[in-house]
Amino acid sequence: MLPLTLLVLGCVEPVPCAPGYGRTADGVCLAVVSSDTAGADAAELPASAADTGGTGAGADPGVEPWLPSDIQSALAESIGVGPPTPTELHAAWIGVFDGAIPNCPGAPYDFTRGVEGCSTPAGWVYTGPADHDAGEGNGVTRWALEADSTARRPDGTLLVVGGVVSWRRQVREDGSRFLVGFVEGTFADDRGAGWLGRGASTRWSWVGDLTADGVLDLTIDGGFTPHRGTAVRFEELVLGPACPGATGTVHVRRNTDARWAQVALSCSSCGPATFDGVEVGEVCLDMDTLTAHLLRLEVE
Amino acid sequence: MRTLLAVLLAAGCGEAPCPEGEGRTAEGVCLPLATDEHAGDGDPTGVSTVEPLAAPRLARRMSLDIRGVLPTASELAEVEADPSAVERLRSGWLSDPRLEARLVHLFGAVWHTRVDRFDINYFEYDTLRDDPTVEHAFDRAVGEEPLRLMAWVATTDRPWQEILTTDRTRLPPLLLDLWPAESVSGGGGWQEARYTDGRPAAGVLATNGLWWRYPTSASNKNRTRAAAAARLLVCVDLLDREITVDRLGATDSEDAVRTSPECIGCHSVLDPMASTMSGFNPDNPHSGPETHRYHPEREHEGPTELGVSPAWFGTPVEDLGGLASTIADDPRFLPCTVSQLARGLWGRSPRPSDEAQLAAVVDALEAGGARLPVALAALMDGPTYRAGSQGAGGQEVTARWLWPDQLSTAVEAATGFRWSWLGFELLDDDTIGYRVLMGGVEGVATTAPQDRPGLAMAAVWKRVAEAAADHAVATELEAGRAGAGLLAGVSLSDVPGDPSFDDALSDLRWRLLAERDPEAEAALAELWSAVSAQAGPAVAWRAVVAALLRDPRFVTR
Repeated sequence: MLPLTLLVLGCVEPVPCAPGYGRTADGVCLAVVSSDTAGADAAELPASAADTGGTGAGADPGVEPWLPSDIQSALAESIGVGPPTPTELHAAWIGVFDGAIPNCPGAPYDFTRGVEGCSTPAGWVYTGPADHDAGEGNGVTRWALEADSTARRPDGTLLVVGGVVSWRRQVREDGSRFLVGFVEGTFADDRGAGWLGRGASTRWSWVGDLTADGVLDLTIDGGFTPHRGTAVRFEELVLGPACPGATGTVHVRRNTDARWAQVALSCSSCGPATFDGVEVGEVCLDMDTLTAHLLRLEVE
Repeated sequence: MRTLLAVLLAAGCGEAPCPEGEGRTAEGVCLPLATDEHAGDGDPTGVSTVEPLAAPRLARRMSLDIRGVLPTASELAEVEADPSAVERLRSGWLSDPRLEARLVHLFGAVWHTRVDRFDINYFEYDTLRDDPTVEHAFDRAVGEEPLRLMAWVATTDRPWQEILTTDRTRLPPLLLDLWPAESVSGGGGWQEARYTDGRPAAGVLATNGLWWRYPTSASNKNRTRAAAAARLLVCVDLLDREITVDRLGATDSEDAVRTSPECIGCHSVLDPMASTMSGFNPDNPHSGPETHRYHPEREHEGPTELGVSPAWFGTPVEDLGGLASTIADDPRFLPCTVSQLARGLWGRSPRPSDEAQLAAVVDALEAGGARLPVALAALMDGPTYRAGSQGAGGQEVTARWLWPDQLSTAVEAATGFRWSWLGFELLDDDTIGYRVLMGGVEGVATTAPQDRPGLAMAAVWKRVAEAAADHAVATELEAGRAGAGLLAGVSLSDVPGDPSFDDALSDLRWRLLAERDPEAEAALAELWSAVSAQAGPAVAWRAVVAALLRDPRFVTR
């Protein structure tokens, strides 16, 4: 009923199905074998097997198709690298102060030498300004870093921090935790693992709770692009105990032609994917991997 | 085509438009538009009274415009014997690898990317911070990226539209080491390269160099960049539109750009273009890592923040790649390119009376598969390019100052002298150098080549001439090395009246000026004798060479 209501209200565009598929009354695209099979309500199927949603819109014949399996692989690859979280970055940032000397790069844990930077006799080179802020009290732990900086270690490895990272945790009396964070910018660390080792451009945030028994109830917004990887963007993606999986939209970008696919999730880890204006089939988000990464937020 | 050109010309292609029926002259004056019926009959530009250059001087002009160097002695001899050889020589010069650098400067004078400072400095990269001699190379590498891509398309027999559709760029090793890009061609110097950060195939519109020159901010939302794209690619300068802002009142500016009549005239065009560019939105415009990288995850922000759907002058587009390919198909694109080239080659901005001449060039370009050398050749076949002299009251630019890059390369090729210091090319920089003093384009405060001489120009010519003359004489006559061969065939023991001296002097003047004048040669011999009597033959040769390099016929083309 909800999809129909939304359609009437003009809230959701009827997305055409791929050639060979037809839309059921529930709004799902299913392969059309014959009008009396596939479990679809034949009365709801268009005369043509390829539904254009009545808009005249459809797949651009000049665009290479993107198969659901390929969309899922691209999504899994980026999720596997890990969405950028502050944990590794903060550790790396604190770590480069191992080479600090008085006035280079500055007071813990700031870089105060400005754009010209500084170097130490031991071979550490720090560039750019950075402002680090941290605090703790009343159950709140927070820290933030705004930097346009690099730190090169004597072994030649480089930490790049170009952007803003902010993280805040409040532990309530019942043991649950309220989490707010965002990671915006470009980050990389030659010594790092996961997303930081790979490097990533990111602009995303999250807010929500981690219950005392370890259940996430978060809303995620924004995206990230691992270096040489697939860009992923979450649009109001809600992970919560109210329903399994997630609700919201996941956008996945095909780098070869900069076109995006959308995966609509509704209390599920799988949902219909749309590419080039056409629904192409079901794609699943690896919720276990995503959740595992997000739980690292608490490894501070 | 003529209608399009008339629109571009009437708009001044970068200047405030004149009233209907009028066009802007090089002096910035609006005059009634010439019509085909009386072009050449009382033409206010004076084109009808212009005489073409003599063949050797024309060859010199073409060689300097295409290769940045003077014709060789044998090339001049060929033209002297057969004036029609100019066309044959030009055909070969258009395949010369030095054309790439000239195109960089020709387009650089309009695109304004060869600036001396960006929001990101070389020393912000830790691998460069301890080497101040890299500053000039870094700035030029960044600023020339889009220009090198354009020049590469032009010189590799590719259709000009590829400057907007290719997934390649051009980068030197300096930037390949810093930016998320990989070399495709290998080798040294400027290389064919490809970004690895997922940016769309959009040619120059996907180059860091262009967007470092035209940065944006959180409130600007890429509108500056959209305006630059319109100005540079179809010669529509939205800043020329006259608006009044009196009635904005307390309206929120973001609402005003969508609702106010004073705003939507531009913003209805600007914002849909800008909405395709948010992948280049840095979190911090002063951050190197953020600014040299494309951000696919931010592509959706433009349409959301600007509240528009992506489009190019009303034509819907999908994204930045779609915007670029749509511009490539815009009928204003090739005429705009021709207009930009004409401005560089003619020494002045195109005028309304040039419409027919430019239309013929555009037609030739289209017929030639949009290969840019075709347009260069067609422009050089036109009467305006070949103008050499004119009657009283004529307004054609018959003597065009050498641009700093032309003076630099011509002097280096002729004498072996290159003016650089601590990595700065002194005729190509204004942080340490004389580019603007020489009449060049710095790209921010100075946006067009100086079109008439000044004391500063003369002072720089003097210094360049003296230093280059000193270098040539010291190398070739005092040290006895071959050098550039400027003074080949003469020695310090030769004096006026000796055949070797007289031949060398005559040959020297011919090679530098492409002009024979026995009286002027005699005057130079007198100068040599007077100086030699006081300071010896080496100083005398320095004086003669310096005099020639400062001669108005040397510093013009």
